[in-house]
Amino acid sequence: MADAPLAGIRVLEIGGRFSQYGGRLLAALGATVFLLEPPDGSNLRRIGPPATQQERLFSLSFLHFNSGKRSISTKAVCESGAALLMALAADADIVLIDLGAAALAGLGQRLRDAHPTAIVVEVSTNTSGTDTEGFATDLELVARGGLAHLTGSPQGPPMRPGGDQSLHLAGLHAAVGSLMALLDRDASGAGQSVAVRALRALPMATHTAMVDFALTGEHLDRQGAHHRSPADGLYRCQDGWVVLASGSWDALAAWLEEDGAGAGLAITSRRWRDARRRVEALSEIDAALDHWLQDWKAEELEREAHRRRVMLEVVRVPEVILEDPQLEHREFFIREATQDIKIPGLPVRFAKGAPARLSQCPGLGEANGEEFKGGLGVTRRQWEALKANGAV
Amino acid sequence: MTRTLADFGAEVIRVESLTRPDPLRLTGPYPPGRRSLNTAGFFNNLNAGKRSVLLDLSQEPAREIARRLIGVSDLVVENFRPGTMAGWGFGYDALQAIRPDVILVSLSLHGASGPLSQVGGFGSLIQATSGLNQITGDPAAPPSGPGIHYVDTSISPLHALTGTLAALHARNQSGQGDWVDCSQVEASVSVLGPALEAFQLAGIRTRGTANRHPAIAPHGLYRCRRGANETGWVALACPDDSAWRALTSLLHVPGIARDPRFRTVIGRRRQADLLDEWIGAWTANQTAAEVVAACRGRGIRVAPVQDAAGVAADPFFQDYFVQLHHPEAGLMPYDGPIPELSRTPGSVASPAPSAGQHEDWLLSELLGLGADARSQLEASGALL
Repeated sequence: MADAPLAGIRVLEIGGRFSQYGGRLLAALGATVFLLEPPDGSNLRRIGPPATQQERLFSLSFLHFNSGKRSISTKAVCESGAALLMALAADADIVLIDLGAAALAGLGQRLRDAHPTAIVVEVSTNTSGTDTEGFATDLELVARGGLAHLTGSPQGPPMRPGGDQSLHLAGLHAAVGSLMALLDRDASGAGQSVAVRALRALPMATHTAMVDFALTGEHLDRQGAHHRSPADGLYRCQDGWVVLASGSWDALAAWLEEDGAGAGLAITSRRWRDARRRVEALSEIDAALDHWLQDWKAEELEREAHRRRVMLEVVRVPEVILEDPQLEHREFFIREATQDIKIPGLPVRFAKGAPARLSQCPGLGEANGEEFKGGLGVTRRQWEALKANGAV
Repeated sequence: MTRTLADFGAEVIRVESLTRPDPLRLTGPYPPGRRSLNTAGFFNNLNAGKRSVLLDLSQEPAREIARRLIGVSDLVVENFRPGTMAGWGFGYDALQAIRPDVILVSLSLHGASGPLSQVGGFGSLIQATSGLNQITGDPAAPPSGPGIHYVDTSISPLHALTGTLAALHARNQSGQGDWVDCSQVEASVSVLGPALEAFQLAGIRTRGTANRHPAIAPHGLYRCRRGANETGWVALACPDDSAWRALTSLLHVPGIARDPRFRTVIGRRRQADLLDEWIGAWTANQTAAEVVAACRGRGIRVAPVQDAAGVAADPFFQDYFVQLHHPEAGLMPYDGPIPELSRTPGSVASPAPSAGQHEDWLLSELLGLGADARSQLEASGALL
């Protein structure tokens, strides 16, 4: 089988919270990603939740976002180490930066000036034009970007989606920008700068909300478990929750009729094939559905729905997903070597290219040896000189 | 996904059908008084900059047109139930026979293989089955998940796009095409944060935490007075002890700054209910803008909770949305490109196409068909 699609591409990540998922994706696609850390380790290693290994705490967040990368620990991430940073970047195809505006201002431009063929990607959470933004939170981005307003119940407060979505979105756009620039370099030989302002990723993630407002003046609000039309949304069944989608109404109606449900609604009649009519009878149809669903357990309901091509899925908890047969068949999970656990691989398969099956959460500075010296533009003589000057 | 490709200069040709139109052409929102296949706002936003041709792929003459189109295309992108393309004679092997270095990109709910490959679905279903619902929101509330099919316009297509771009790069090196098979559910499982790792290593069953955070306190969304273009809520978090001390100077709670209960983040997490009460009392009498102004420069992270109106009026997004005039739908803002490239910047070049708008271009310019050939195609019913 051929190499992974980004085999041979070298990435230098001077990373922060909003770039790290981008670096992880590039690594999963086959690039060699060097994560540059200070001698006492990146702050990313101190973000919870924690786990314990041999009585030492380590960060599960760091493991999730940084598996597959290699770690270089050096003072390069400060002014005294700038010479080393420039040397390290010499052979990097992509330099991925998320340091905050206050740290090493102008770093991206200096890298571009020194290495015109490099692709320098800067991820920022700078939203007000000031130079000192500090440590941005996922909370403020999903709040200001419109996603929190749409999450939660109508009667309750807005909610932050789980999983730190703005971190994943920023990383995804950083990867996309990196690869767009790489394609241009394939053709032109020229590098370029790529800026990803993390907050800009949010409006598109609100689906139709912006367009709804622009065209109709409607302010879409939180729906929670409220249904705008029957058989469309969250429903309780005997032992849990399921989500239905009304696009398979005919198949669902036939099922209800077979089961004797539909409580006198003539559920398969032509009348109900019109979505607008169903909305007018929302409470009656939903009452019939609620009653019928109480006879079903979630897993058997989903199995039967799949057989009948009714769009229905169980609302699952994360831990059951680890044993999911579909994900097992596709070998979606890969093995993380240091903890011997399953972690998500790439949600993309290639017929020709071969993404890695084994990944590893990088130990601090584990690439400081021969491999790093050969892998990123620093000869042994340069390394010894920089070491003598205290840069490493 | 293909919208981003169009933004960055790719010529994207949508092969559409009038007998089975794209569901998004049939779904609102519509401009008032202008409801048609060509005025659906959501479709138009997602399809800006593309071209549209109408082909009835059940007809062999139309499939021949499609084969010629494939022959001049770098990418073929499809979102059908797995097997549909093969049924038309457009499986990957067949595409390779037409153009050996073609890249086929397939997006489906569960991917093109496996026991669930024939199961269809989209956003809300993906979020439910991937675990995203259960890690969102108030754990005591029904698990409704992130609002409004969030993964459909972000998580799924962006992962597919990274794979596609990587395959294009690989082709530039090797000359070989590929088949890029993308699972929307897998993409959503990828963005659960460390929930899967936390269960395996620490037995943690991750669930929604409302707006609390395991490592930051205080951290939440607080009700405030509703100002112009505001929703009446504000986000506030103290990412470190310094920000907390700064906040205490604003809250006017006697003794709070020296109270040992709140000195550390662990202590503040334990007292989260009490802190939320005090912060809520402080924000209740101010607009979000006033809270933001009061917190500025103190290290406290704060932002208004905005709805679409707030985002539209927010100065930060003024250079993000692009106003374009559609001949039938009128003027509308379109999402702009998100990565900003210095040498090859993206742009939203044109509004979405009307259905079949580019038939003449396809037949005459791209495929070089003469008048007789076109007449035969029209007579055959291949062109809709």
